Amino acid sequence: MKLMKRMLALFLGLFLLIGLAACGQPSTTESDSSSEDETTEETSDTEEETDEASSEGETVSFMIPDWGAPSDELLAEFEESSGITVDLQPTSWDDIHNKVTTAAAGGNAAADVFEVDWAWMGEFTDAGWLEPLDISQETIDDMPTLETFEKDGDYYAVPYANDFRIAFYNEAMFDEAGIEGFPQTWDQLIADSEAIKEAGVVDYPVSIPSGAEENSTTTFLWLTMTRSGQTFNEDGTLDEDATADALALYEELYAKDLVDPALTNASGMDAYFKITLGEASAMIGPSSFVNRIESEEDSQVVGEVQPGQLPGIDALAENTVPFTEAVGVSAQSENKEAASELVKWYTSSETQEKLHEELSQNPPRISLLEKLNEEGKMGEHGEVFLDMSQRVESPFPNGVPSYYTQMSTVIFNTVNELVTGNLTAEEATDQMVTEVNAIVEAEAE
Amino acid sequence: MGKFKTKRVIYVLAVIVFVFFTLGPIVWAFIISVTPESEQLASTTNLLPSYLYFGNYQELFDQTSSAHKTVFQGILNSLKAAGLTILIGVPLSFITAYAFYRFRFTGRRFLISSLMVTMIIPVFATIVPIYAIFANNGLLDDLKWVAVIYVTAFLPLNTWIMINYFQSLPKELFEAAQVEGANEGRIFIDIVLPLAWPIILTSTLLMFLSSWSQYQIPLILTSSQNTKVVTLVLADFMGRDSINYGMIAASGIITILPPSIIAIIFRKYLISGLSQGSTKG
Repeated sequence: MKLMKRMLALFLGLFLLIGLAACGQPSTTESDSSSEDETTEETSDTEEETDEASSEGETVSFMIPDWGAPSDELLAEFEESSGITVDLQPTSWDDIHNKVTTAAAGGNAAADVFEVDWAWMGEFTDAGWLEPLDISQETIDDMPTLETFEKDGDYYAVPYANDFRIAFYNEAMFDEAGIEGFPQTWDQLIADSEAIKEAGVVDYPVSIPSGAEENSTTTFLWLTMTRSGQTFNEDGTLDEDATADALALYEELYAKDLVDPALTNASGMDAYFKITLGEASAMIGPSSFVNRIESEEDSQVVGEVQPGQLPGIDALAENTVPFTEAVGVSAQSENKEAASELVKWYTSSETQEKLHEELSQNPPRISLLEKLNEEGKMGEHGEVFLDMSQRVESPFPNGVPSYYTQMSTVIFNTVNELVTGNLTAEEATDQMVTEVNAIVEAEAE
Repeated sequence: MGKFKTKRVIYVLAVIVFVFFTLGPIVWAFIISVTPESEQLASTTNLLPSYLYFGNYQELFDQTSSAHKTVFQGILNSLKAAGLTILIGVPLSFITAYAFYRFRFTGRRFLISSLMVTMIIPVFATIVPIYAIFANNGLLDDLKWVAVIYVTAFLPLNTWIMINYFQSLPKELFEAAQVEGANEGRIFIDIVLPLAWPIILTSTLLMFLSSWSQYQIPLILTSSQNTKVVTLVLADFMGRDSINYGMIAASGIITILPPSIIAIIFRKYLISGLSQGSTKG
């Protein structure tokens, strides 16, 4: 009993000390922009004519995932040249959405500048949480993915990382099955995959996200766009023919046993990684896999996989779909001018080039991609990446809608019901079109 | 005899099922943490890796690695938040419970009921106004104030447990002290406090374990690496299109060690404190 009392005393004493130590620790950062005393005049600033003097001495908070966080040295360059202090807040991608929505609901800015994922664009702009940005025509022409962040003529965020879909084929597996060249159409891809399966090269040649999660929705989006040229009609409703076509393809892939049934209950990332694990001969996935397939750390099939254009119905698809990340300025920020300057600097060609060196981030500016490719800094497949980055086309004719999350849930759940055999392609089409269009109509009212 | 055996079999089966569901995820996390990355996503029916890979643990304990700094800073921050919560919360709930137990005043029952009702209010219902208050008063990103919110969340349960404990004490103790001429202060210091150390320990443990597992409150109220608690830093191992499962699992195993060790050492008091007064009052 005495021993226990001593342990209790030790335990309580320890926490007393830790607690007191924590009490004595001053707040480490001034993260909250709303608590800043200084305010800036809300004058319009053009990208070319920024009054740097008015922002000097201000602190701007910058919330971005780790993979986009600039180094201290790079930030110091900006701080020195602009006189603006940056409070960098590396935050995981999911958490940024939570923090931004919670803060904005209370009329506050979670950070002056924060990550804006393409999927959040409609929600954030409809709620008035993003400040319109002044973007030069040169930047608009140089960044095809900027289109995703445009609404009613205004731009609300600027892309900092390039992401779109590219086809990946394991050349060694195609060779082993005696197939020359890569497929240009889906019919050919299916025929090649059947041959690869028959030759015993791999059990499930095609890897495609099929779980009840977001990657199945993005897959549906690029499937409809690259096969039918559209996903939605002008009024925002789902195009029935494009939907039926994409779902029939899903059904065929599973009916022919070309896709691992385990993917119906796995994450999209698991599906993408099958190409680097050497468990699939064909995968259409994130453009970042262009680097990943050649990385000894990430891939077991280095040198065997080739990227390329997506297959289409009659020939190679001319387009691909972007899923871009960007940075925007909070409408609740009290340092909008300084925040805009940070965005301008962060997405400038010079900074993006340095971020490419630091974080292997693929820049969204075509001119920079061309430069990096010419200098041989884009790796073995730089040419393909550059070509594909100019083919991006958003599936949303009126911008990403505010009800995207609700709509996405319907899409991925229906895809999952189809691949698990609970619905036929026809039934899945009816269900998806009816439910998505009901959401669109409810929003229109 | 047959009936006894059947009961015994059911008991053993129930324990096995319970242990499977409680320890299963931890064992699984450990297996993932020692599985080489190349085998983690491979399609295989093997439950165990082909060889044990301790690279994730080596990186976590390498003081120069960013993973080490991230995870151990998170653990330190969690300890600070828990320490502050205990420092504020235990005395507060103890005094509150004692006052509710000893004194009869108008509105007492209403106040106790109101306190208990706050237990069922989900954190999402209050997080927006809490954030606004914090933002408007410059309290964000400060573990002191995060601990204050923890205390408000844990106070009702701890107060209720303590009231139950006080109700289990014999009334004669207080009557005898009063007959001896002890005033309320002396009764509190000389009689109640020495008797209450098991429930103080229980309350301390509960507050520690509850604050250790907090996610939503620190997510919203902290932002810098210097204040991020351990539940938040694990998300740092998730990249744009990759998840470092091995590192997340290894970090998870390390972060459950402090609460597990404390819970194992003081489990007797945790159980007795929670069950105290359950048959009385």
